[in-house]
Amino acid sequence: MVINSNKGNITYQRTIGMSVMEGKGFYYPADSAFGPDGRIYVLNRSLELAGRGRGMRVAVCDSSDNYHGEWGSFGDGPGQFMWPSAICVTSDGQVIIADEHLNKVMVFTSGGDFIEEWGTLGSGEGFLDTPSGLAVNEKNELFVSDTYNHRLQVFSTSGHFLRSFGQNEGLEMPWRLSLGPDENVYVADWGNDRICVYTQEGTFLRSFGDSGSGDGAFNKPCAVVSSKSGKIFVCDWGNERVQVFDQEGNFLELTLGESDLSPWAENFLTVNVEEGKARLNSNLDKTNIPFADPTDRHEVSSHIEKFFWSPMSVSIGPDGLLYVTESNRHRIQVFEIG
Amino acid sequence: MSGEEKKLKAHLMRRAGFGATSEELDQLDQFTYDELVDSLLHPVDTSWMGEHIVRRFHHEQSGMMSGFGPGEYWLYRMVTTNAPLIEKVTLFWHGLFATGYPKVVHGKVLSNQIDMFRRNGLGTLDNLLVELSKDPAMIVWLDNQDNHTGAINENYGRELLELFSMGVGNYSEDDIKEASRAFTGWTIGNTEYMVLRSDRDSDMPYGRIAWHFEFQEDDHDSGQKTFLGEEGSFNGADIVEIICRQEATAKFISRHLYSFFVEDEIPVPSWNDVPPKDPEAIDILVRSYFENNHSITEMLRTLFTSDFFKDKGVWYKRMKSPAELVAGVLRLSGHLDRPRRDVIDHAMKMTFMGQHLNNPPTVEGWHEGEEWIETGSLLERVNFASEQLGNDRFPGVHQMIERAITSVGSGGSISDRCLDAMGSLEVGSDIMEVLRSISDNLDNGDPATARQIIRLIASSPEFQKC
Repeated sequence: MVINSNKGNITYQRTIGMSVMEGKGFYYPADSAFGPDGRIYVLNRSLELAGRGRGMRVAVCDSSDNYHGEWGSFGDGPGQFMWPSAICVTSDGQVIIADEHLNKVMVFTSGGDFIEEWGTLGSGEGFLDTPSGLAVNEKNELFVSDTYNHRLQVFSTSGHFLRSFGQNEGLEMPWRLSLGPDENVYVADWGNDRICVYTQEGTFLRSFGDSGSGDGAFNKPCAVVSSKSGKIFVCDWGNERVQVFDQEGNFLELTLGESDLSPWAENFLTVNVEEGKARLNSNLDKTNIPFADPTDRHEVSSHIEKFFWSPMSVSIGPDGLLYVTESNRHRIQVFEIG
Repeated sequence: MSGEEKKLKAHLMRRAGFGATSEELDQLDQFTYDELVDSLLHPVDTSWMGEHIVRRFHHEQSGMMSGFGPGEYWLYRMVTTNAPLIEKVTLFWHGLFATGYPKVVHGKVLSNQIDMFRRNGLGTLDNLLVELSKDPAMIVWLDNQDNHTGAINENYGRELLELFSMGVGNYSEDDIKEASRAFTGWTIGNTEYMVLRSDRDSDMPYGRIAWHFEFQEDDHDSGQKTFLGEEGSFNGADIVEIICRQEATAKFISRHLYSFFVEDEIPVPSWNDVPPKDPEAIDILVRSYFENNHSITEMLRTLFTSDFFKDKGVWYKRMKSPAELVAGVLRLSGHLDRPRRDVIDHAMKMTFMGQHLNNPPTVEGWHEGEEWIETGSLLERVNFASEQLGNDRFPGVHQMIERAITSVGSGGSISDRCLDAMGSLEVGSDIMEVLRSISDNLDNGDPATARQIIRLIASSPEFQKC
């Protein structure tokens, strides 16, 4: 099984996190974003039912494995979440979170104090139906993936509608979006298995990608980010991998993930001696497993721990490294990207 | 399609699926009854809402660490599938080969077992039992990872014979021991670590890791064995092959199929003392089993096309399980037209009604039939059905109301039209009298009247059955 293919510029470096509902770790992290202070704000979806949203929170850490605390709570009151879906941070440190069940966008201070929220279910201009991706520019214009309205909308951070686009290109349930160093908007057009690129004013520039599982093809891509060096990194969610492209959409390489133990995970296994010992006696990298369908990447990743399993968000940190947030493995894999 | 033919097809769809809407029944007009049976047994379109869209919005139904995700995910499939018999047969095998979360403590492997039933449930019994014996959730559920050469653990061997294939009284204690010897070495990979994590309910450091079957040859007892009077160096697959040749197995599986698809039987522990309700029907199914190489598909074809299945005397004689009731109501209401957070409440309702999928009370599964009904669960069942089907914001309910009121003048009362709109249902004369006494005083062209009648039908005793 090929783990990394082709050019070899994307190199696994380390992992941050482990699965916990409270404290140092994550639980079904849906998205993460860097603040201007370099801290990572990790949005945890957690369980929907158990404890009615226990573990649904923003965990704050940094790329050196320091844990700075957590905030946020489950509920349908002001500043509470039920299906927290996306997070971004403004240049002055305000944290913005979307909830795709409550159809609202919430604004917090970097310490988690609730400032305001807005959003109403609907399909007209300025209304939302399942917001699932966020990005904010230097002018504090907020770009929102408006999933079931199959479009992108732009608002002020206070919820004033500015413009929408994407319908003409037939976006189908867009998921995450990001703003590139070229200031363009990169969108994961989830339902169409492609990446679309727009100007911030909404002019369509180009798209690339086809459906499939071969190199360069997509199976429900969920997130995309563009680097200063001009490479585009796509979370190919349904294929459980991250693919790398040039600006024209030519395939360069891919990785299936290579996680080893994070410092937090190592600490857990050191303290829990029996589990640590049993783990050492195991082979968790075994690939000759009798899968019912060996082409089912979701199933393969459920068995092989180092692989991505539901990679849901990609971002490039201030250190120039690629951070891939994996929902089902409750961690962030970090890569050098050449 | 005549009214009687439509009602017969509606009966089939309630038993081989979760009921059909009136629109679906209209579309079935193009098929003869036998063609419909064939299309259920060999569905061309097996699509449903789809795992990608469900996993996108329900992250726990992707990672499946807890005991709730698998049931919620399965509910989506039951409600939205175009191949309902596959889900129904899967539910049948889940009840028979009951495996539960409290010991396995791993939602993903329980869901994988359900997938295995989905893939193999309509094949031969031989193949299904071999796959069951290799199923990681079953291995841990019945301790086969502790079944070693020279130190057997009889748990799986015993239940394979007693609960899964032949029934008590058709084998000896020695047969259990010999079967157990044959399954030594059938275990899961990384046994020590995986079982320890289950024992501790540990999902650290990186969530659950799915389990896989592993045959450990050096732990397998390959010696001579005597099983059900036959001798050989049998392995697990050989044991299954011998089991499937037995008359007792054919009878046991036939009676289970009859009880699930035709008419509620008494609980299994009494089967040795009380004869089947319809011994002739069991004989017919047993013959089908042997004549068709132990094929479940062909047994079900025999069953669905038989006179004993079509006989009106067995209609509405099966109590719907909570899963059947909830899935059937949601198919009618159309509420789950896309992923919605409400699915967790719907799945929880099933639990309140007495059936937490992937979490049966014991290895014997659920006691079905009338035992589903007790004061609390009946209230849950009636409230759930009437609340869902009384909500005209749901597309399916809206459609039923429209159908009932726009066909005014086509004959029959508003009650008749509501029964037809709900999938060609029937109620007893006493309930019909109540419905008529209410509708006689209301405007029968008013949507509110139709909605009220639909709610009342959903509260009727007949609606609790199929």
